[in-house]
Amino acid sequence: MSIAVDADAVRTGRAKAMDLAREAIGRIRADPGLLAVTRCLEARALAEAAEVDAQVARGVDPGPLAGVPYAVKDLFDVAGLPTTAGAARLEHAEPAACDAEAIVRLRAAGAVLVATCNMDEFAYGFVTDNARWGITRNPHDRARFAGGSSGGSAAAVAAGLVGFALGSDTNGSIRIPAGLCGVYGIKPTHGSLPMGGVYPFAHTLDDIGAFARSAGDLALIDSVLRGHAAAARPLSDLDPAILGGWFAQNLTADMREGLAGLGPLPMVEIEGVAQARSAAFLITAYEGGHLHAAALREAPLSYDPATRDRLIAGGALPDAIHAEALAYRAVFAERMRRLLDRHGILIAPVVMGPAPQMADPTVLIDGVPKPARPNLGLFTQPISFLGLPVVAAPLAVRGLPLGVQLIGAPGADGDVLAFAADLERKGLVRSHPVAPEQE
Amino acid sequence: MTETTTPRFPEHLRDLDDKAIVRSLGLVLPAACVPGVAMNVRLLADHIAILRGERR
Repeated sequence: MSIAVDADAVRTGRAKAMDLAREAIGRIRADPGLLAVTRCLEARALAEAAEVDAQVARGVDPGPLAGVPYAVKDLFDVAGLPTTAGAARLEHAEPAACDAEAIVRLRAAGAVLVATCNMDEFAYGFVTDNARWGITRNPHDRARFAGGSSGGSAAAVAAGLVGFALGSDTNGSIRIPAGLCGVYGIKPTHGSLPMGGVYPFAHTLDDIGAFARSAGDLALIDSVLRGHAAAARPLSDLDPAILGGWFAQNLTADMREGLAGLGPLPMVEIEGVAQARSAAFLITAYEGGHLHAAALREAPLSYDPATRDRLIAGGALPDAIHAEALAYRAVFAERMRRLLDRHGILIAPVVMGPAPQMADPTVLIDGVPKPARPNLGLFTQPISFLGLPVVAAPLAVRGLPLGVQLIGAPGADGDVLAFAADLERKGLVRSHPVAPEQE
Repeated sequence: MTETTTPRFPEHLRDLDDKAIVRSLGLVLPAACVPGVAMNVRLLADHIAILRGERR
């Protein structure tokens, strides 16, 4: 059921926010093995739900998300709690004084925060393999990764624990877990959603966005976060094309078939994708490394080794390399602009195929197994490098979920949301919800 | 972790072992960090080469 339907039931008094909150808490508590949730915020959730129900009783409209339970990646400030960013070293940090701006907006729309979610430490990874809170399982096959770094949020939505969730995306951290868990996710145009109270990673690339089980839900949450619905052009003005070249290599047979199932679309190529991905990789390493340099000097062994060693190496990159990588953005952006001017929407896989197995945490690149943690972003990094809006949508395929990126021009967030909804109406994309396991 | 001399990012790594890579960064690291940092420096050096069009 869509969250708009749930919210409408609460707004009209046919359902109670308190019941929805209690049900969500019950689902979370019944499935600890998913390792999607780091903290269940029962007291806060029940208080917020009571506030929503009281508004309805007084004849006040609580808003378009009335009573809808949701979760946030554990890098959003939640008043009264430490913001861990997935790091054990911050587990007992000073509590946040107030909520992140995104949470403030969701609460004003009636949504009820019930949990914080697991992530790769400091968002530096694509698998949600966390040294303190464990590896978030993929709800579709618990022997597989959920993807990351916002894997807890994606898994919580896919498993039906909450109505929606928030994550962040620097190089693919919303799109990859959305794709691997079979739900929708949006990485908006860079800088278009509020970043206040969000633990940073690489400031020139960081964005927040939502996970949801339908394109309509995703657009509704996005409109609340944005403060208005993103404007969209008529679908007839869009002439979508599939990105080939770099984006057609290393695909599994399932992914090739899934893309073909979208219909006969033109295939276009863009030059210099490898450089774009490397530039994004270097910018991230430099900015993340410099952000953590002082803390790493003080207490390097307090970090997860897999994160620590990447951050130390990145912190050693000179300013000139960062500048060189940023300068390439203008070159690549102009090439992409010409393609998007012509096609409006570009389609690319999120990752090469289905979620990797935890027992074999690799992906095949040019026939060679490479570690999944840094390499699942092969197709997402060149896109977020440009700050473009992207909806990750789950292909309507049998078996394990496969996601596609629906990419728009800067500011065309409404176009990618509308295009996702159109594909959903045509039966070409759909979420893959699963029932939570009882333990 | 402490810094020693002026750091120099080792972009050309063919002849350097893990300890030499870390030394060239001007860092004194706990022994546990050396292999992982060196591996990541090599990875970043590969990306620098790709960005500059020196390697696919």
